[in-house]
Amino acid sequence: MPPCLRWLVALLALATVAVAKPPPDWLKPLLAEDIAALGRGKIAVRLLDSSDVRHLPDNRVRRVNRGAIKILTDTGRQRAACSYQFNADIEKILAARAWIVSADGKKADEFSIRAFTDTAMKIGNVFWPQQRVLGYRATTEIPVGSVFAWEFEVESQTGISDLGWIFPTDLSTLLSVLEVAPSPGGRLVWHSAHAQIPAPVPGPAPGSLRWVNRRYPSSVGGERPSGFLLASPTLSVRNIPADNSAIQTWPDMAGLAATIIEPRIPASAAVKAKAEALVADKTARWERIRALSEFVQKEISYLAVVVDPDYLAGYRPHAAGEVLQNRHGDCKDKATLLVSMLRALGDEGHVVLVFSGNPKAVEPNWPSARFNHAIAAIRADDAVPTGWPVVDAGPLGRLVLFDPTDSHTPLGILSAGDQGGYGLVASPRSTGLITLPIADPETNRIETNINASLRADGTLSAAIEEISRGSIAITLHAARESLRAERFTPVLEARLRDTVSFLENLQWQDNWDAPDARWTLTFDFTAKRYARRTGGSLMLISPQVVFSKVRLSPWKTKQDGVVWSGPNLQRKTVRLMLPAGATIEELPENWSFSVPTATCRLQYQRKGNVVLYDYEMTQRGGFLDQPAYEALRDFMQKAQDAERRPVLIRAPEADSAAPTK
Amino acid sequence: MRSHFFRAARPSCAFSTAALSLTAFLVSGFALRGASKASSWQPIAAAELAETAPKLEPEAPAEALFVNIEIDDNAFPFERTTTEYIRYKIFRPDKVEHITRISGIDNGSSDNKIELRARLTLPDGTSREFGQESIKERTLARQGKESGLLAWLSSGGPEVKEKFLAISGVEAGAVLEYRIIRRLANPPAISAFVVQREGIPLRQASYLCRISRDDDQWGNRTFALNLGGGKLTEDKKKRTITVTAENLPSIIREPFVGPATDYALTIVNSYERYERLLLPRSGKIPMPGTVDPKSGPWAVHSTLINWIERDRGYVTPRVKQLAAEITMDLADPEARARAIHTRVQNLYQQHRRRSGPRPAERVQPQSLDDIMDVEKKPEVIRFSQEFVWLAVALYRTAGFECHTVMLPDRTLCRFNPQFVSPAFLANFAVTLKIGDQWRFSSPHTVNRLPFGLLPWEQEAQAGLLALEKKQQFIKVPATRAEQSVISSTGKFSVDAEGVLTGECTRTFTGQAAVALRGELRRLQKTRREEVAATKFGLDAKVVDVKMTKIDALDDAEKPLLLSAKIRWPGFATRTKNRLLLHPEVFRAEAGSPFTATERRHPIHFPYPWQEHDRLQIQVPAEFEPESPSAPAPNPGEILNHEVKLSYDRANHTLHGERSFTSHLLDVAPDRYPVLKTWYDRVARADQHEIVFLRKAETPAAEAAK
Repeated sequence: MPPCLRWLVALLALATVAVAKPPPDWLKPLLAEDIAALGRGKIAVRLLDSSDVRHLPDNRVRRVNRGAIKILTDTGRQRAACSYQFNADIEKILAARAWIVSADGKKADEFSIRAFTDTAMKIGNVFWPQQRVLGYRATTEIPVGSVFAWEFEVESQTGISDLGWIFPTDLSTLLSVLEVAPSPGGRLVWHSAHAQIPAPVPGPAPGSLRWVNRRYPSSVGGERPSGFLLASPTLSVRNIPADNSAIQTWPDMAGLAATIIEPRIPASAAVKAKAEALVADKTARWERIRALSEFVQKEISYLAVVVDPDYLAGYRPHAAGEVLQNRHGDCKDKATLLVSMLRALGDEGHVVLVFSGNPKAVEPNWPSARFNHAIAAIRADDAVPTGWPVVDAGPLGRLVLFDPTDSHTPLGILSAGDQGGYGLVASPRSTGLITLPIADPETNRIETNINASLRADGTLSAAIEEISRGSIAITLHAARESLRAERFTPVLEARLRDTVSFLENLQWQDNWDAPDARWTLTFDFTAKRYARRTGGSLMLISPQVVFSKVRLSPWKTKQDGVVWSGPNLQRKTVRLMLPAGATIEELPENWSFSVPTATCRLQYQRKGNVVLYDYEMTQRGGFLDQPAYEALRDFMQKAQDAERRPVLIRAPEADSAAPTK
Repeated sequence: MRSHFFRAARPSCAFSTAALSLTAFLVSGFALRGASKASSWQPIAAAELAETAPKLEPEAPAEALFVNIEIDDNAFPFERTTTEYIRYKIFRPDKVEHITRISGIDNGSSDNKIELRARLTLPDGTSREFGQESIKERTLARQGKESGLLAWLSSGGPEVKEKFLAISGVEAGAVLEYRIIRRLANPPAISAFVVQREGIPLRQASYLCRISRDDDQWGNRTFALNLGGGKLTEDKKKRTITVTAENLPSIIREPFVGPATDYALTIVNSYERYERLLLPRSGKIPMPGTVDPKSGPWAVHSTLINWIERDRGYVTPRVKQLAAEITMDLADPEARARAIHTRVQNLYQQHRRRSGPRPAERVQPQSLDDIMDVEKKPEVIRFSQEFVWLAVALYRTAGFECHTVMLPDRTLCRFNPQFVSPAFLANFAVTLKIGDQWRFSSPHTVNRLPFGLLPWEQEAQAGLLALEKKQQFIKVPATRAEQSVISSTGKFSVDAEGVLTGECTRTFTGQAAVALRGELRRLQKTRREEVAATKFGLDAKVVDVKMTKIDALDDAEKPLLLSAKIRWPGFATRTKNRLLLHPEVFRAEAGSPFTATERRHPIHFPYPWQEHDRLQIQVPAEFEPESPSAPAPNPGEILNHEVKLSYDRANHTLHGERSFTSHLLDVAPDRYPVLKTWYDRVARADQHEIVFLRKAETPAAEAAK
């Protein structure tokens, strides 16, 4: 290499490695703050979390995000990392920098974007190639006492989504700031349902607003109970341009969604032919619709492939004909194909936007594009059975909701994840949100009938029929279907372990009735030493025969939120025949207990040498705050303790257990 | 520094058909053909298209009709071409999404390429090919850590790209074929192929490897593990190795299984150089020269490691000084050895946990002095083996007969000395003689081990001593059950409502402590206490466990101790006149780990262990035991379980002692029923209840009236 080139290479190399400099100016005042109280007993303190957002003409927005974390302990070094998640199709990273600032705050090693890692976002095992994560980790190199700081500068299309901001609560925070400036001539509107969001103050730019939160503690820690819906201190801010073109009402959003989705619905010849073929031997309307729904559910596998590189791409389905040909698609593709097939047969249907998994996500008083899922709506008629998920969609009439992405939940039941929130029909005739129905406990129920007999040696023979309906049936059947018969047997054996120590001759069969969403499991077995001899002639018998431990985790989280609990009903009837000559020493007393969200009743009866046991538990479901959840948890525990009470009998045979000294 | 050659005697190409494996990479199960014939698909028989149900396993969503793997190593060590050709018969399209979408990773280097092709043939015979035009390519990661000139030159560092192919139009009855060709530059010397897959049975499997033409430099050994009824053959003329097998079941998940090589056909393709380039560090250890084949096939490897150990572990004056310091005032050989082990372990942990920036320029160590200067010389590269060399040097300086020992890994495969490849002895430790026994020291493991223990996966097989021009295996026993003990004590009281309260401790020793100590050590205090609370085996949904003490987290020589206060509402069952309670507080809800009646895979336990519980429960004074009994014991030499109960009437206290011992490591599937029955009995005994009757209601009291 010629000497001049060597010099050039050396200079370039020097220019790109981390170089010690003073810390950035925006960080210096924060480094001088006293954080002793905030950092007491903590692994790290967030000095800053800020975003400066400027709406520009031509539907563009520029954003500068800054952050800084002071590392206080060795474990806290794991927090020396930053990332920015973005859509590579519509967002451009203009700059990214990170710094490791020395403990005395005087020197900083700076790292440029070339030192950052750019990865496709991965959720579970699925990569989402459009969603990128740009990040830098200094976890192995940062000394304790140092500050890790970063800055991202991004430009993007405005899009239809709001600017969302969460005041972070994972670490105690010194300063969190959001500042937003509207586009020229525009204005800002904002929304938050959370009490911890401070009121904004005017920013320096015309029409701009600034939200500031100072010196607040972290609220993480403690396990969240199952079904917990986090109520983050979230703020949504929207720019209303000078031409007033932003979404301001739900009909605005419904109209926009319709303009994106409707062009993809018209049926190709292949779609029409397939739809006709599927219903060829069906005459009743709902039988025909069921044939179409099952086809889209089962034969179109789930795969999200986003082609268009614009901010509406996430709402734009593939054309129905394309989905049919590919035999795969995502939620909006599947809903589009089903609606297309319906319309091809002269029926009516619409695509409906929902937020799956969080009924609290869509807030009726804040029209927005906050949806993450698409389902289908089909015109209801008088033949719709009672209990189906029907909604009144105003000018669009009464509609039956159906989720073709959920391959287990048949027509007539709304997927559990879709229940309880709000949806929006993607139609220009839509006048507002629809309330997504919640199934009642009678719809989601499990009924167990047990016929058992006990021999004098303690061996039990039992024949059991379990009939489940609604969401319970769907869940149980889905679990069964995911296993082959030979692999379901061990699952059933494990389930019986709580009451049966020595299981023999287990036989089972099941039946799934899709139109009624009913799953029947019948099984019988023999259980040696089912009755426990305790010494002498006393025997303990668990009258419930089959017992499932249902225990709720304690509410340990310090975060705000509620638990979403689905409604259900459980009934069990046991007929237990005792051995000849046995006498009942003690029969559990009848028991009942109620809390506002649930009721349980246990009844015991003796008829000759037969013990009859009836059990019924109803959970009404809904959103539970901490007191309501803890009350339900306590209720469940009491009910299970009551159900565990044995029947005590005196058996004629002698005891085989060794006496205690 | 001069380089030297180390020459091994040339082994012939050897094959074996027993069991063993390696991890390396797992081929998802595809087939192949020569790269030049990439576009040719084999004809599909009408009978295959007409099939409507699986043949090997009922309800299987698909079956692999064949899997052919073809390895072209002609250009090894520079390039390897792997062609996989697989044909699936699809019965349930909605259950096999994992085989209708495939992806391969390009590692960013222009030399490493993957080609995917697929053909879908519908039951009516129509077919559609998916080639390059159907493949979506996406960049998964751009690694930006090259913060120097490299980053500038490459505009963002190495890239990882995924090539992704989603098959559209799959119907029940369809036949789906894949052909995947991977060209890999500088392939690894050792690769493993697991042929079977979870949930998909396989009718025919074939593996063909064209071994390297460079037989002056490279020897190949191929091992087929768990071959069952299959065949392994060699064609010396064509320089190919072939493995074939038929009707292989799918892999299923069961508790307590050993490595996949216990139940899945695994092929290990292993190359070894005849000559090694050795780079001396000390310059004081002569080259070993040629190793005579008569010394045994493993002598090459043991000689090599012996030379490295002596060269890297060359004793310096500072090492001598340190050995003297450590062992000063210690006369007992075991105490001296333990002190050396602990010192090296502390040094290794200090190295691992050293905070502060890593210097940009890293340097190779010049001697053991550099290894010891953890704080002063952060720029020194210290691989964990360096601490083995240091330990060997210290032990020898202190007068012990000791060697590096190379150990297999039970989580990967069972060791078979006939399978000669260093891949099967990839772990190092120190063995030293105390008295007439070989003892072990593994001071360089992430989780601290006490002196005498090895990681459990490296025990219970054989170890190869690193001796010069000699092959000597020693037996490496499993840690004895009495060394890995979980002891629980508790002093509780139960009230008339059945609520249990009290204090308890649980200590862990030996193997039972190793992983737990590491797990707890890594956590922050609050989370550590939450996790420690779960180690009492109680259901956190019901039992409130408040940790009061965690002791000996950093001292592997002491038992790891957890203390807690517990409150358990509903522990005892209340009836109208009675109180029913389980004396075995910690075991009453555990149940047997073996609930399934059938078992397919062999059972494997990591190590022998014991459990000792000593508990007392005070019951309300108004209750008296009613016909109390103790559960029958389950005695035995290999498995032993006993619960002893007694009642102290004066203090209304129930005393319980439970002991459990398992010396088991491996159980064949046909012995599973016996094992299950034993565990069922243990579970039942642990759930034994004592009935307490309200005093006024005792028959004696009634009679007295």
